Amino acid sequence: MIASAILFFAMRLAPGDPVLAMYGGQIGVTMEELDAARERLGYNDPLLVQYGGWLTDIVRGNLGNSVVNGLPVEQVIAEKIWPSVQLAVVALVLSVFIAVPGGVLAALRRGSLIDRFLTGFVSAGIAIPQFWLGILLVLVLAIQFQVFPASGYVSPTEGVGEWAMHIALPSLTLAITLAAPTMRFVRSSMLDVLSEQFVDVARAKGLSGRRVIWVHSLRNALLPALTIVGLQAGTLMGGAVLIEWVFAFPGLGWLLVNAVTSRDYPVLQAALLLFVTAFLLVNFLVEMLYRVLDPRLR
Amino acid sequence: MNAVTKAEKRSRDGRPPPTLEINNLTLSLQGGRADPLDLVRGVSLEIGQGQCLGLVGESGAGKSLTAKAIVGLLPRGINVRGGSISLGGQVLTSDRVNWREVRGVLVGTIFQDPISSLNPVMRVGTQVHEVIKAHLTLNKRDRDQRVAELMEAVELRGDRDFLARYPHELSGGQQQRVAIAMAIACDPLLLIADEATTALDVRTQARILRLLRALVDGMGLSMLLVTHDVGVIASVSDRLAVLYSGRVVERGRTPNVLSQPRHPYTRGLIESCPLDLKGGFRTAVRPITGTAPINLESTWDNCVYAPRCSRAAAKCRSHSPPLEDYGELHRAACFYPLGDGIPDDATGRSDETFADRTTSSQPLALKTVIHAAEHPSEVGVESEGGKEVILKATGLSVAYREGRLVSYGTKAIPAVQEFNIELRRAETVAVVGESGSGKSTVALSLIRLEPRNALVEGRREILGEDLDEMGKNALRNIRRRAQIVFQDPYGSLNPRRKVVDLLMEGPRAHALDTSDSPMEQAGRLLERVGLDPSFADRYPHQMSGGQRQRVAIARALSVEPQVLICDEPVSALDVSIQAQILELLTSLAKQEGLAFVFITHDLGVMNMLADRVIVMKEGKTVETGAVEEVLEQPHTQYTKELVQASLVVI
Repeated sequence: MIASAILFFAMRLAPGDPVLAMYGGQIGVTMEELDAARERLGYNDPLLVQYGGWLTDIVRGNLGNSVVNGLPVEQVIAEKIWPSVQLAVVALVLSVFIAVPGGVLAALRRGSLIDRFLTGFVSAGIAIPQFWLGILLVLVLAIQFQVFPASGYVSPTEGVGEWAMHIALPSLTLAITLAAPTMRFVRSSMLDVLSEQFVDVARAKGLSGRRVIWVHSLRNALLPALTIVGLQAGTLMGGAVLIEWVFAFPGLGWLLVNAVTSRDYPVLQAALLLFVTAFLLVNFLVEMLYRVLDPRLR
Repeated sequence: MNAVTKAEKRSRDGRPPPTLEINNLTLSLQGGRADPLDLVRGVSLEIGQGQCLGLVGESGAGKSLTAKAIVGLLPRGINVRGGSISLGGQVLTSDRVNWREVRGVLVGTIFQDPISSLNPVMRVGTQVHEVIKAHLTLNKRDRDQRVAELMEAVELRGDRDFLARYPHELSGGQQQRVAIAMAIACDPLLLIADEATTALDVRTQARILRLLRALVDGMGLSMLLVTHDVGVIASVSDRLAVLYSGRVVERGRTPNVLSQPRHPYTRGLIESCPLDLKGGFRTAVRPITGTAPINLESTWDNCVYAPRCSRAAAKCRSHSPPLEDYGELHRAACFYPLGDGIPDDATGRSDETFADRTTSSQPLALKTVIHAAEHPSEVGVESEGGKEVILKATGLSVAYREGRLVSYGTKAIPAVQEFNIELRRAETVAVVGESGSGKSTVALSLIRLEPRNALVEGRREILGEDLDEMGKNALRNIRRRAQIVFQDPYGSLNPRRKVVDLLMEGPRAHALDTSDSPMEQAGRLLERVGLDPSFADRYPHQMSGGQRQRVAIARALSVEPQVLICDEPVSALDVSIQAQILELLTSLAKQEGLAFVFITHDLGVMNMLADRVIVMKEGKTVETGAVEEVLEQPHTQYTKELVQASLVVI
């Protein structure tokens, strides 16, 4: 609710005129026509009235129509939501598969060459801008070696192989930047757990090293790391704006950028509202997951 | 490894060799230095089948390291540099040890803190099961059967509901029993108990010790009992070895060593203990001066104990004493052992041994009379009316409200109920109880320092003024009169401030007389607590635990209080240091007329300091009275059990 108000008013504060953008580039549009369009779309009403109208519409399940192409907002968003969700899930899974073994390895071999290398990876992953990494990967893997296509999206219904090829680069880019903080987190919480007494006890019980690490230590070490993965998942649900833009990946992030440039308020508002909701929902789910994984919280 | 081969090992050539044999073991810290630093040097121990060896010493003596070396769990950077360990004929110091066939199979280990010994996210049944699964090839039914047997052996209910619980759903004693069950699951030759009862309440501790002893006797286990507590050693072990600074300074049969110690350190340890080993409480302890060396590098060519020893002579500082035999395998490493007629030169104390004094020590009833004669005015349940009442609480009840997002709920969990205390000048009242009895809540709420979610009822006064009717400033002023000393001197001193700043903060805040320089004032405070004034210039990390606790006490004294509330002020300290602090507190009480509220779980400590005692259980006061009366004739079953469990039983 609070979020909806903030995003609504913040958007109206931003410079730019949707109507002007709508007719932008058309020759021979008169001021009268523009005014009439504003009046018709309700942009001349006081802001509070506009906000109230928007809210009641949302409650009724009506998100309005796109200013740009007149299609219902639901339809516009529904078209883009699946690619984004796929990208998010693939990227997240990839990042976890990079971060967890990496973090565990770094913790087990603390101070070794591998640890230092992985620490370097973490610093680089956090420091390097996402879009730059994306461009770099495109340059190397798409243009130089032509392993993957540089851009675009193919629905899995049209061929899983093609889909995987297209989603590989954007998800890899995302996964690397996401994995960096997670790996650092896994490493430090793994170190904490390894120094706990029950790990010594598990060793003293004569369990295999594998069981001590992957069963006894990791489950405890992953609990704090879950928070950070949850936060990442939350933000990803809103699509990865920059990455989608770089790879011309037709997802929510891409839609968002388009909506901003064309001042498509209804789409923009609905998309942002969706992000906020998704974020809250994911965090709620993580909270629930904690209760499942940690018996002390039940 | 299966049970058959182990049985073979046990019965090899008729008379079995010692189960565990440690020979000349040296453990060193490599840590990137050119010369390895020896943490344990030349330690030799032996444990026969069905025997319990107590390894006693203070923190840093190397007792836990020695135990960890047996199971190959030495911390990073610490290695076996010399000597050998063999267990049931198998050499554990070679490079080709398959530790998975040693740990859990030949050796079971129990550690100190039971809650952290168990994996918090795994059901306790699973944790017991997995040991068996890892070592024995049993099917599910036989495994269940084995778990049921183990549960019975450690006196726990082994039903499905219990095994499905998580560690945090068990009490401390139950957790430790589960840990014991895991340790003995595969019928090992040796059980290592590393401070296994230290973190437990006194009654639980007594029960676990009985259980361990029963396992040794019943299963023919050998046990290595690692502890700092002479009382525990006395109750359970057959033989003992005293470790000081990485060396065995004395070993032998437990009754022999304890009744006639040859090494001055052993005597010091015994005399630092608030319990006497004949089953009574002491009224005073004799602390060992000084602290154990931190840097071991320079101490190998001399007697490691010489710097703290009142009998040390030139020879002790230039030669390292070998272990001399005193018959019946009683050995001690001392050039001038006790019992050879040489008096202590520094203190002029005769070398009467502990045995001489304990045989002449009075039974409890008689001791009471002596104690009463020493402090004629301070005995009795009702303190005399003449002295000023410093601190008083009537009907004090504290309950913790459950936290909610916006406001507190209506449900409150009672922590303390109807607590009464009246404390006069120069009087010491002990509040005694086990964990969860509400005694620490009492300490905080007596001076209105209870946490925010606490709901307090009843009346509390300092110097006759009601704390709950005071404004902020008045409360600040009155709090100066009642200072608090906490358990952990590591946590209670700000690590980034020098001692002088720590000590002067209070006087500054209360705008006390500051005509002298802060250094002078801090120096005087430090002298009052037996520290050199030069300590004012140090940071907390440059001091030992005992020194820090002295600083914490000096800080409390800095604002000229009339009552000190001490919440377990010695329980985090080593015995010899604990004795020093107890002596300091006693002298403060006697010489400066300070009143004390002394929160403790330790009846021995209580007996030495307090005039009266309030026994608490689950928030309620179960018994009050003069210390001697309560110890001698406890009225309630609970107090009886506490007293019984506290005493050393040989």
